Amino acid sequence: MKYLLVLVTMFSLFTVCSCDRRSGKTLPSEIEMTLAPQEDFYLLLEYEYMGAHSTEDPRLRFVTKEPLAALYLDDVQIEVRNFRYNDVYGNTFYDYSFNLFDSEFIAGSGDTIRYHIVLEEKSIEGSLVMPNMPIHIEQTFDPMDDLNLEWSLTANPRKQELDVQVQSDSYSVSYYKDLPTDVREHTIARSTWQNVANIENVSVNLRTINYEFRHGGLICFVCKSSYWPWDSLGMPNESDILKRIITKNIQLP
Amino acid sequence: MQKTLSLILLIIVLFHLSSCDESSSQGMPSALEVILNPTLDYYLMIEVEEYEDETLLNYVYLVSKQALSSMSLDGSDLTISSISYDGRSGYYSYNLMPEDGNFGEQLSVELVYSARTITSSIQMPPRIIMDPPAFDPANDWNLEWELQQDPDLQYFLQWYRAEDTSYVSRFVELDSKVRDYSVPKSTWEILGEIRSAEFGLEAQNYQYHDGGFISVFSSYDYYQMPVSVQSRSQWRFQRVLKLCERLQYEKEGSR
Repeated sequence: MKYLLVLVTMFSLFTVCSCDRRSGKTLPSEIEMTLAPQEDFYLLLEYEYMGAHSTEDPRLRFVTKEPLAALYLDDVQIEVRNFRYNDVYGNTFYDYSFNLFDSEFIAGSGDTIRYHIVLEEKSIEGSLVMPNMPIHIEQTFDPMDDLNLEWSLTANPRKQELDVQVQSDSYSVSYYKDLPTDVREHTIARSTWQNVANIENVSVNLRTINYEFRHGGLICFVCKSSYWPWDSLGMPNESDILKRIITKNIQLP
Repeated sequence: MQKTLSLILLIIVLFHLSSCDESSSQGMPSALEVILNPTLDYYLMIEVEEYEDETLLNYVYLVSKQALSSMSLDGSDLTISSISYDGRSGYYSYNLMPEDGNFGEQLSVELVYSARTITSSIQMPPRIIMDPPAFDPANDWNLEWELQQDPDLQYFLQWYRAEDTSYVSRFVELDSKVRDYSVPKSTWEILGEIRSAEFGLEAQNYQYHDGGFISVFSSYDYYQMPVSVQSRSQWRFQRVLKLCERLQYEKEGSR
């Protein structure tokens, strides 16, 4: 399995939509952004939450045909951690990652974030709202039952998407749905995972996305909210056990 | 997820990284087609890969519209090591464990589905014979190799990594008759001090067959930490570190 080191860093797989085959622009996948970029630049900022807590340093990525001179979010200059210069069969572009954790940038979900991108030949300024965080009403996964998902979300984003991964040691099923932005529940039929024996892990991921095409590029803010209704031992997760203790379905000694 | 990600990434490497163009009936399908919008009944990729220490690795991957019942190569059934189903594309992806493959052999392929069986035969490209000079950041890297038959396609894929983990990656398609390639030192000059250099040379044959696409690769991989001369054990240790690092990146990439 060669060459994966570099390529793995080039994208994650879940920002969706296929190629734009219509006259209007749709949100490209991150794969397309970073393997076959069509726009002059792509600014991608993603927050990930498990429960109410941010789990990681926000993920900030900038893909551009021109070298980046500086990037500011809310007037805070964000330090470049590293970059990749890609020449993919003649299609050349830079792909930058950043040290957000060490910066003074503090905006959260639901905040309007100002961006200022300084390229060698031009400067782009604007603002966009980081979407609100979807709050899951966590469900227990039962392989013999449909999975009924519910969540709350304060404001409708421009795009809302759901993916669910059901995995065993040797078989994985991914479910994806591009949802209307005002929807707050969704049911996945149990037939989706009927071929997966000995399920080891189930993950539920909701993404709310705001984006805009501007000055020949794309600015995309993503809020990802995740939970795992089934843990690696094939048991309900800890939060479910806690709920059952609270509701006295499990008696403590 | 990790397996799915790895499979998808390999598809990216093995297919042309063209944009959103629809594939032509005779050309290579694009990686984006295979990943995001597969249209053929199946895409089969078989690879024999040689590292500079003469380690041989074999890979078989299948992206398929229908669930696969079984697969054989040269009459030997393959074990399916992992399956993933992508609800977005509606396609299955299979990672299969082949027997030891041989360079240059005529491979007979059989894919068994519930409703039909696909059989075909395809010529694996010959072994790429190469003894690359050590990478010297101060000079162009001049490479030569032997390949007894011209493949349908030939690629040179290269990565240069700096101390701060910045990269230059460059993928080049070579004429199938070419047997040498010079990488100008300007390729990595943007990085400053180089921590590692890596390349893969790929020879590929392919065919469209019975509603699907079959491609076979022989490849030669080279990896070097060029800054200082290392012992073999140090080099192997670095390979392990690299694997760990890759897994970490996969973890990050899957978020």
